Amino acid sequence: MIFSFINLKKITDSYGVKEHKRIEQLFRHPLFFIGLTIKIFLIVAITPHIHHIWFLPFLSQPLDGNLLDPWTQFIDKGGDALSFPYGIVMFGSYKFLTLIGNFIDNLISTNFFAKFGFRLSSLIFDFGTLYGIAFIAKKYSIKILLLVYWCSPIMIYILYWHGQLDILPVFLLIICIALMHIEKPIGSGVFMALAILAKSSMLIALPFIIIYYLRNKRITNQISLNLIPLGFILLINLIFYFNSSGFNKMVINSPESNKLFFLNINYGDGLSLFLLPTIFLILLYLFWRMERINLDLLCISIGIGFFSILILLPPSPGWFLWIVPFLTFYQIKAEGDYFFSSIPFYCFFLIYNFLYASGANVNFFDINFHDPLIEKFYFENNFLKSLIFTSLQASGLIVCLKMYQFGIWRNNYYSGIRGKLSIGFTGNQNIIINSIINSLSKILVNERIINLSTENYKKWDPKLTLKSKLNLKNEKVFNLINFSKDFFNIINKRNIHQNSINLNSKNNLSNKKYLNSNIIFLSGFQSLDIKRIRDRANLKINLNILNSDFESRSKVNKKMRESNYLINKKYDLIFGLIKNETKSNIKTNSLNGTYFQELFVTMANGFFHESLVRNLIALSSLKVDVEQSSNLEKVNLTINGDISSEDIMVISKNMIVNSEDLLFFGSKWSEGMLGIIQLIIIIHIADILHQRST
Amino acid sequence: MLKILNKNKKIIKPKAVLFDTDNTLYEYEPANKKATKAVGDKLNNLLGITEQEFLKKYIQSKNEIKAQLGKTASSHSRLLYFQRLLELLGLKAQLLIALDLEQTFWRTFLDNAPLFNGVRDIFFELKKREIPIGIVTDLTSHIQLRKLTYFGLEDIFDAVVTSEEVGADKPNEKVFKLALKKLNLENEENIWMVGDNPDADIIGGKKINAITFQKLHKGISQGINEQEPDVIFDNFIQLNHYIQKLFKKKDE
Repeated sequence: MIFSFINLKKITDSYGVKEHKRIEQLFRHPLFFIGLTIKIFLIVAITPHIHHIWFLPFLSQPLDGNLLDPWTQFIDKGGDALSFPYGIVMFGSYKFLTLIGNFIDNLISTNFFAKFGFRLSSLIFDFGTLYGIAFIAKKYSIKILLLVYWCSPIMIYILYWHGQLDILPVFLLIICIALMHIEKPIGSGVFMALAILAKSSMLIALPFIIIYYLRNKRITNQISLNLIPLGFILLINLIFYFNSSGFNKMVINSPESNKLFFLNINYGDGLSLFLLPTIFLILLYLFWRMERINLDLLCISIGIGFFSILILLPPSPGWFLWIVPFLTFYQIKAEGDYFFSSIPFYCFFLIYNFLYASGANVNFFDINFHDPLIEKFYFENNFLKSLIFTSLQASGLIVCLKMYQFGIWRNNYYSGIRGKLSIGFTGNQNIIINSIINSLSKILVNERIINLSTENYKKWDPKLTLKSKLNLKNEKVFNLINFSKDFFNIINKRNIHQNSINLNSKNNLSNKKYLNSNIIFLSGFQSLDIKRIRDRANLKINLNILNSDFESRSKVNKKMRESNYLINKKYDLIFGLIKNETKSNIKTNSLNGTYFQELFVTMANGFFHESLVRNLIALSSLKVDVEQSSNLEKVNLTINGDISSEDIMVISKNMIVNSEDLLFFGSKWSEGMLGIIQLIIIIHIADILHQRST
Repeated sequence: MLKILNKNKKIIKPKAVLFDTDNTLYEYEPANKKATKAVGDKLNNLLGITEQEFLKKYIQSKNEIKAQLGKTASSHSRLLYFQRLLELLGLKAQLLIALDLEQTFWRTFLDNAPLFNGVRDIFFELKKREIPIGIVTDLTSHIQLRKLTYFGLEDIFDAVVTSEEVGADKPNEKVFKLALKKLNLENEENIWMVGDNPDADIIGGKKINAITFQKLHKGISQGINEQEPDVIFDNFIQLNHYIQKLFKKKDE
């Protein structure tokens, strides 16, 4: 149910033994234990200076007034306004373990456990974020994930040495993305709201998430389910804290909020161009313009969005924490040399912050490193500071550009063919072909599929008797010139001629739907007879329904192989479906009321037939004969038996490259031979989409 | 971890290596659990049987079939378990549902049975060294061949023997002897047997005087006394290193 807040069954079902094993391996990896040991050591041995002077005094204050407005109480008691510039979610989440620590401290008269509980909260959110990244990424190198996230010096420095708390909003944002991915829009909206309430800068991610919803057809209708709870929670919070003087002073008007319009170009006469909003809008536009937006691109784009803030504003150390999970996501997806390009950025970050940001005190000993290291060297040089800062920003910009480059690369990955994908699909029974095309749109739920059929370009009026006088194979039956013009108009995103296609007929779509489509099927008799259309079609399929009663199986097979289609090498894929005249088969293999007992497939040799045969035999116990053509160019498969839609779904995950980008929870496979036809066609489509443009 | 327990046995280059399949090449329990759950979910969808009721009757049907057939290949047949389960649920012979449940079980099972790390590499290493590889496994031929095909190992083995082929489960000597016969190594002593089950694989291996290797992982207890293996290991990568080292010594 779409309304269930978080459906654990759906989450666990999407995770097979392979994914669980990977998670197990992740948490058993030596690097995980190394990172964990360092972190536990630091939370026991170190108290960051800012915890000491800001966060702990705020969180440890006894709440004797309004429990939900500690800010006003703190300010009224003379507290430092810089102490806690975060929202109620941050307060509640960190308060819990701090409170328990306070209780233990009071019990045994120490002052260690409140601090420990506070820092332990960060470790829990840090662990949760690692789990969240692994959950979203599914396929990743365990070593790279642990190196670039869990053992990242940036993470360790920011969280456990400098002591910032930004890990909580990032953790909530990661949950929001994970829930959106498994189509739980309400839960996703709630967690987005919680992330914003923990730290308002998480608002940066919101437009990217909205665009992701709008650009992914399968979930576009869920956007309101996401935004309503999100808006509702934010509104309640706004109403509640509108009159809170403490909240206004500490959170709304914090020095960090005022940085937003810091970088600007002076246009004279008191006019300024604010750089951050301008660049951010351009980024959003570029994201919107991407051909296909998948989860990888969303995560990387949010990372770039955060990066833009870091580069265009004088950043606080904690802000760098926003980008690390997304940088990690990019690095585990991109691998290769992308990993090394981040090293200078890490180095400059550590040098700059160790020199110029506050440090920590060592617990149990009277040793403190709380002053910036530069103060120990007894020299302050603004030029040196600016030089290191410039190096940090420049190396950050390079990482940002690399991320964008990878984003574009991924985008190209899915536009190996420029523009729309066109598939010619002909055969001897249009009803069956149309059913198959319709069924494909139930699987490729994120694609905008249209079917341009010559059936809509008949010269005669179907109601008149002239129809009977014309043979379908006669080229004069269809207006192929208009058919071709319209096809190329759609391809070139031009309006189709209203008079050439019968837009009033019941199956017709609006002009807009034709133009917005990204996969065009060309079906109907003679739809591939024009060479220009044939040359443009990325995939050409032929499907014939054959009767089994007049010819033996081997004869049909031979007929298929020797057919003109093969000799002309006109088709990439040829299907022959053998009707079962006795109709004795069980429920499977039925299409439009016709039962099929056997499927012949002719396709390119050396592509994927071996893997298909292995899966069909091993997973579904089907009988499959394989025969190669004499010139080894084609391979002929004869498939019979019963196969369920669940079998096909499992096989599809094994066989379709990056299936998570094409297939989703809503994808509905057919059973029987129709399911196998769907599978083979979609494997071809996925392959074409993945061929990188040269 | 790889540990030689029997110091009296000299481990040299093998003439052939026999492998068990289930729980040796992949971890059986998680796949079995997931597949059983999928069957339970399907029964719930089709007939409204609760998970608790299903599990209770499933265990009962399994025990009945095992008691009825003894240590034979058919005693592991999921089809028989499901057919009996439906009878125990008072649904009589629902053949189509029984077949459907069997297919659901094996589909889910295979989809959730990734090979252990290093399994493929060890086969390639043995192939490279021209050491014949055999499979000795319980259960019916059909499903075991489906499993090996699904793993993409269909052309790796020089001999495959299932308990269905000899009419008895391991540790029956016939299973191992048939494998050696197929490999033309009937009188050879220097054979390695790799398996997880002390009762079936280690005892069985000892019957043909093989050097026995027990694969240990979660839920597997190390064999003791007469079931004690010669070598224990928990990782195929380490076993592969061991083999490489052994061959290196030999080459030198």
